[in-house]
Amino acid sequence: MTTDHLFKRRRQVYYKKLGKYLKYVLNDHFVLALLLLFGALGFTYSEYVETVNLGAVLPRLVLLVILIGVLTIGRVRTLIEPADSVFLLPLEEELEAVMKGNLVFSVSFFSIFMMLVGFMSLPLLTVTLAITQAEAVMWVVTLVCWKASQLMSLYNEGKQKDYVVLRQSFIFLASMGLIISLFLSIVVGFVLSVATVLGLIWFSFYYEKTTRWDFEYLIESESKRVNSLYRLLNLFVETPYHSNKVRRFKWLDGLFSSRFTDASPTIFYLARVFIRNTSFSGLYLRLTVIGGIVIVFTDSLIINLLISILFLYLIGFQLLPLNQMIQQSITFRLYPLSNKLRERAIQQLLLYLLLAAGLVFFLLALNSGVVEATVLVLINLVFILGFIYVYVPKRLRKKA
Amino acid sequence: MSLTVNNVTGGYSRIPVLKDISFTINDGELIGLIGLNGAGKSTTIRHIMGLMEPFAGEIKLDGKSLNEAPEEYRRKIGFIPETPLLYDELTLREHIEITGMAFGVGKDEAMKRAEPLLSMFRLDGRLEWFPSDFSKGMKQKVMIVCAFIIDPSLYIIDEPFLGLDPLAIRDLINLIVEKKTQGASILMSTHVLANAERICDRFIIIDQGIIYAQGTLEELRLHFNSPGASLDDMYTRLADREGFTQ
Repeated sequence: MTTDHLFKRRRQVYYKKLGKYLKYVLNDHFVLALLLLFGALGFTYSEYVETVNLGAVLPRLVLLVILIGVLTIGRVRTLIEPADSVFLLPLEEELEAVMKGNLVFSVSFFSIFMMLVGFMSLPLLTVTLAITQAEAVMWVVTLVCWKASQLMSLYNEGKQKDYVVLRQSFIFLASMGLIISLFLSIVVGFVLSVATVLGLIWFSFYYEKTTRWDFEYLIESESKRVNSLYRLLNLFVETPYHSNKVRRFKWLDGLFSSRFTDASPTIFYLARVFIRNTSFSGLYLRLTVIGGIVIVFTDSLIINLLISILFLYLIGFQLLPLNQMIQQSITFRLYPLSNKLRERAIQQLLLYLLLAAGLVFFLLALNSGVVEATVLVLINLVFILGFIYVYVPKRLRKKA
Repeated sequence: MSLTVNNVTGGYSRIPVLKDISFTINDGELIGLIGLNGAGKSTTIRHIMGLMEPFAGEIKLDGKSLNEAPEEYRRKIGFIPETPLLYDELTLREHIEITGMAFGVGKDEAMKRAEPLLSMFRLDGRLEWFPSDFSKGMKQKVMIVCAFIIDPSLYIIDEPFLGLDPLAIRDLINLIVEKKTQGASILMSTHVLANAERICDRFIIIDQGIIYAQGTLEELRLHFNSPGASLDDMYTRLADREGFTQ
């Protein structure tokens, strides 16, 4: 079996698995909720665009931040597995063609995504910059070029760690380029992005001749990619959980000295997992901050309610894999603890974490009035209790 | 009376790996579980630990099965698995604390009991480390420490010497013998026959899921008609003759 065949089979297995998960995703009610939300957001956006004047700076700044964020997420799909660092080591040369194929695939995939983002941003650019049709095309191509540059710089980092400098330069150049596009000249920004992408194509396909790979980096990068994909799918269906890199955060040790975390081994463990495994704490923090920002800037009670409940829902779902970690742990099965105690501990931890996020939302909602904030916190409370005591136990029984 | 395994048949899916296995381990007794790779040693251990359900037969610890008294049953067993099972997110200190909490020893008492073991295994300066910072042998040492601090009445030890340095092997053997003298029962599976011969009271020789022979070294010598032979000699001769390897 050649390396080519090996990866062809891996791709088949991978897409079959994704297909299976997708079936659950499309069957879920949450898709409807998301569609409604997107509809509402689209509507709000179109209403908002009407009110923007020619030359307005703030909307373009917001767009800039969003675009930089979008440009830094996403990786090359490599399907590299940990065992490859042993078994594929003598086949590095054959791997070259496979990896180039992966790069082309990921660039194509994300190009479509960036085109969509580009089209969505066009109405805003039309009102703030009064761009021509030619400029609109250039703008969309600019975004695609930046995305391709990001993926190529990541690709080269897989060859040699030192090439992290490519990614760093990419972030700098792309930020500069987008600022130029949005505030000075679409044409100049376009030229810069095309030059960058051409430079990187030359570098990746003609200059860099080594066929050696940094397997440790490839393995870690692929596992991060699959993890973030699974986390997304986990909104709908139970996906396998793979542990992320762990950080010590010694300064947060104080959080674990309470009676609560010492009450049961389950909470003792999960509290530390939550903090130290950044895929939990990082996401919790991000979702709470994003939800909080929207709430602070919105006066409408209805929108605040929708946003707060949506974000509590998202946070809750992102925390569910904590349960999987306990279920998958052989050590926990060997402890003299009853299942009931274990389940109760997980519920309790989720409850406290959601209540903390709810409290943040309440404090930020005070901005739009005490009565509104009180209504918000009460409805959130009902939602949290329903989520923890009705939905979670039911959801945990549904498995792919 | 400690552990009794009665006519246990069991395995993965419906194909039995273990076929009608019976043995007992008394208080203060150290039993060596001997067999080739794939003979059924780890499967036997998984059944005793309750990680697998037997198709037939019963396993009782002090007269009670796992289903009759799950928490009591589990509290009595200290387990050192073949592959170290550690939490990525917990430091060495926290592994000791959570073990103490789970087995009702308490965090502080667990740390107190762990101290001499930690210094014996030269882990005392590494309390704040994560498992990812440890080598295979160090991880194994952490498992050993965690099993010994709960002071169980039955130790189940699966391939304990793999990856340990010579000093640690010596110290572990001393620890096992000490616990045995204090009255604990120990089941140890190993391929290091020389160590097994030195410390075990009895041996269970298992092949293709069947107990081929069991007894003391003398009884085995008598059984196989090879006076004065070492366990290693007997076992390899036996394996060749009986075609264990096929």
